[in-house]
Amino acid sequence: MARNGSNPEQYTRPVRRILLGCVIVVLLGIFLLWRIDSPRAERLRTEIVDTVVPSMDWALVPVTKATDLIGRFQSYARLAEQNQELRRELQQMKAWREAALQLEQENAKLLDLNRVRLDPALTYVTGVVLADSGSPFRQSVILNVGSRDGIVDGWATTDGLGLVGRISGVGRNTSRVLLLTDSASRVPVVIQPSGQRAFAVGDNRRLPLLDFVELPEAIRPGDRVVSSGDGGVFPAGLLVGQVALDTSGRQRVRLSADYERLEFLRVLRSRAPEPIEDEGGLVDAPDPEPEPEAEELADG
Amino acid sequence: MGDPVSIQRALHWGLFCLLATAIVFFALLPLDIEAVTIPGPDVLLLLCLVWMMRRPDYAPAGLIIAITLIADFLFLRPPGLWTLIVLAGTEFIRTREPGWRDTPFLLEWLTASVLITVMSLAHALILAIFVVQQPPFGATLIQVIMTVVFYPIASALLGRAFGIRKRAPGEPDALGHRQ
Repeated sequence: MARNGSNPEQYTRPVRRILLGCVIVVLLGIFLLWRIDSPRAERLRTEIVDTVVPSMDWALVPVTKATDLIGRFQSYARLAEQNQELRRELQQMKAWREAALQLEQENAKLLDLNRVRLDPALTYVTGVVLADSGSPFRQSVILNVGSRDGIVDGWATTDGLGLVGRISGVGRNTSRVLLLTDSASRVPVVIQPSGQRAFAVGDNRRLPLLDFVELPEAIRPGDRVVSSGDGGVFPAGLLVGQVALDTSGRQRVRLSADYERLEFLRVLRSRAPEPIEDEGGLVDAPDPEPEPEAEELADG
Repeated sequence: MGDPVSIQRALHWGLFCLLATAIVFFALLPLDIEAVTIPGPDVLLLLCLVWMMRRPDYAPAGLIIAITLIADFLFLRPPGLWTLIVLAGTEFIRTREPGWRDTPFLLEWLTASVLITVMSLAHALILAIFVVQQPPFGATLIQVIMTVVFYPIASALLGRAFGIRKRAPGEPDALGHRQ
């Protein structure tokens, strides 16, 4: 009825088609650019996140806190039970504290004897978790520290106890932490006490998989998993977690970091180890002289 | 800009932007950092599809492109591709616009389900062709099922809470035409 002769649609429709065509070409271009020159496209992504997420900062933190509060109210229901549990754990902790104190004293004495200077490079920057990846298929969080605070790609991140992930993508004000559970995460680890080397491979599950273990039978559930420092990305000896078996009998890592409550993360400043390129000045190149000497010896 | 038609249009665009921003915001909240085994529905896609089935005249393609592209960047998806597929899906609905008003809900749901499935499969297929690392196929499938299951809930919510319903016969569209 309204579609009479003076309908403006007959003019707008072709224009709309052309515009849509242009948009489709641009979108395809963006996708191809991302596929061909991924680092540059990812830098663009980091910049977009860097502008969008801090602008939501004022709302992100209160809403998160409020939702957490509701969760905590629910946990009041089993307060008595928790209390009992905590008392038991406290008792165990006291025993451990005693042991730790003794060890600390012993360690202090030994360090004093050795005159060891601790590595001053292992300091850290603490950041607040602003946001997560927003997608169920990617496991990462965004911190409120960035290149402004001296954060560099690849640095290890812990929650004070266990390894959480590594920095992957640094904007000016924010940086992204790729969690150990992300399917792109591979961390070289060593399993104590057997000393087996392996990779903690994220696969979007709660517990990362242990892969490339040389002797799986040498590992038992409950063994400690620490970072091995192979490849030079992570400092060695950071606690990752404990070995656990999943329902299909595969070995996984139960992470020590409390992924349910990631609030503040420590980004460990680590410097790349100095590469050794020549054979070093101490060991001299083989002397071309010895042959005549040998002859002399033979003569004498 | 003072006429009721323009005001209606501006209000609807504003509501669409507001809902989309809220969805992105809540997805970004660091509430469930732990990896989940069952991914939830793609709420932003649901918003686009349900809105498009109800009032295509109040959902300009430009708005959908802008919001989905920003979500692509924020949610670590390969940028551009999913936007392109969402654009194709919504334009498919738009070109068949007059028909949706007489379609019973079950049929509409079925169409949307097929559309969601085809869109996700196309996305996975193109990523596979370009050899991009992607989530396990099972997880994608679960998300498709979740999105399909949540479609009626999303449409009821949009209809009841925000008044986004199908145009009644004789109701003017965004340009003020009666049809």
